[in-house]
Amino acid sequence: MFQDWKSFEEAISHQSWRVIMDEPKPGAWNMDADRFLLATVTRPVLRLYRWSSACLSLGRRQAQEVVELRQKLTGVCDVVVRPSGGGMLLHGLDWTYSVVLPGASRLSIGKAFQGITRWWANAFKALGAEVTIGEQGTRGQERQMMPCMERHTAGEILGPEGKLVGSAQARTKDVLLQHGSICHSRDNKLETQVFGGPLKTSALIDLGLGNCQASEFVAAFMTANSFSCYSIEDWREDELGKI
Amino acid sequence: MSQVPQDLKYSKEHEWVRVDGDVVTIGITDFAQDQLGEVVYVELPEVGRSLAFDETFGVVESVKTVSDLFAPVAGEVVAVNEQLLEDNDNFTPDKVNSSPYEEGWMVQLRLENTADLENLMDAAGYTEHIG
Repeated sequence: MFQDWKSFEEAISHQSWRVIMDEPKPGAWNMDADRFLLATVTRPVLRLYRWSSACLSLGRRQAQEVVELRQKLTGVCDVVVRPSGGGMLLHGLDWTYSVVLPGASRLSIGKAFQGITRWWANAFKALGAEVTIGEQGTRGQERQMMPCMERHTAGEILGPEGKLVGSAQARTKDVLLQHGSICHSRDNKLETQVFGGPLKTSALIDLGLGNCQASEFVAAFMTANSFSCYSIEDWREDELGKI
Repeated sequence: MSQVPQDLKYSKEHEWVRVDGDVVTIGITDFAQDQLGEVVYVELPEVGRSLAFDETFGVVESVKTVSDLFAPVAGEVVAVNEQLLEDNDNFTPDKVNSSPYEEGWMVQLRLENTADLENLMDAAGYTEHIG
């Protein structure tokens, strides 16, 4: 049955997290790695990664547009499909996170989404950034046509200029994966090429976190949320062979 | 308070099953649609596909979450609710929210083994399951 978020959060605070900090990789590899985690994890995982080149990621329902978009954006950026829902996200100048939680697939979607984004908000605040949690969502079919960073769901992390993190979830029978794109800085030229104009978003560089390293984000995430037990564990050879 | 019709059977994965001879109609419960929120996209199997018990047969996407759907019984897909599919002119996935037990049905299966039904809960059991 659907579990209570508070009980789950309490239980997970006593578990041992695995942390993976990847070097920048191509979009297809990044998504395959997330799919692998979604299919195999047995303990909580925080993966933090970047992208080796610009890449547009599409939500599951936009998969049928991938061929057309790849043609349209040839020479501009890669196009991949995420295992999760949500709208289009442009990667390259961002940090992307995956929080993968076994035993969490029956949590209320709204509460889990807001709970995980709150973990990140706590981390940014611990690092000294002023962020808020959005209360209003964008509704209706209009939302489907908008880039992820310009449409809102209640519980998202906002900076002074708008959304800072675009997040979405995928769920299997047992596992919940939430990944999100944390805007580091904007590339107005690329955004215009892909979306027809620059996006109105917040960015880490505007919040004083432009020079933060992966290890600092990880430490803030764990400490600010009282996840006291975690270990940094790179991919094993046998895992790399399956991604 | 979620609606739990008395004449249906239910799985732990929050699917309902309506039995009509050897054909069953399957959808997700009122409780499940409420937890999911606004449904924007549904993927369903092709007619003719054989599904094993508990096999993933599709996905439902709501707000920003893609969730797998699991076959509560084994059988061959004999019909899917075309209205829920994106390439349909009358694409209305929100029927899963507004009418989960009627217009929001998802698939019909020809039962492979009627004994599968014995693993499902009745309305009282499901009401207890969702607390």
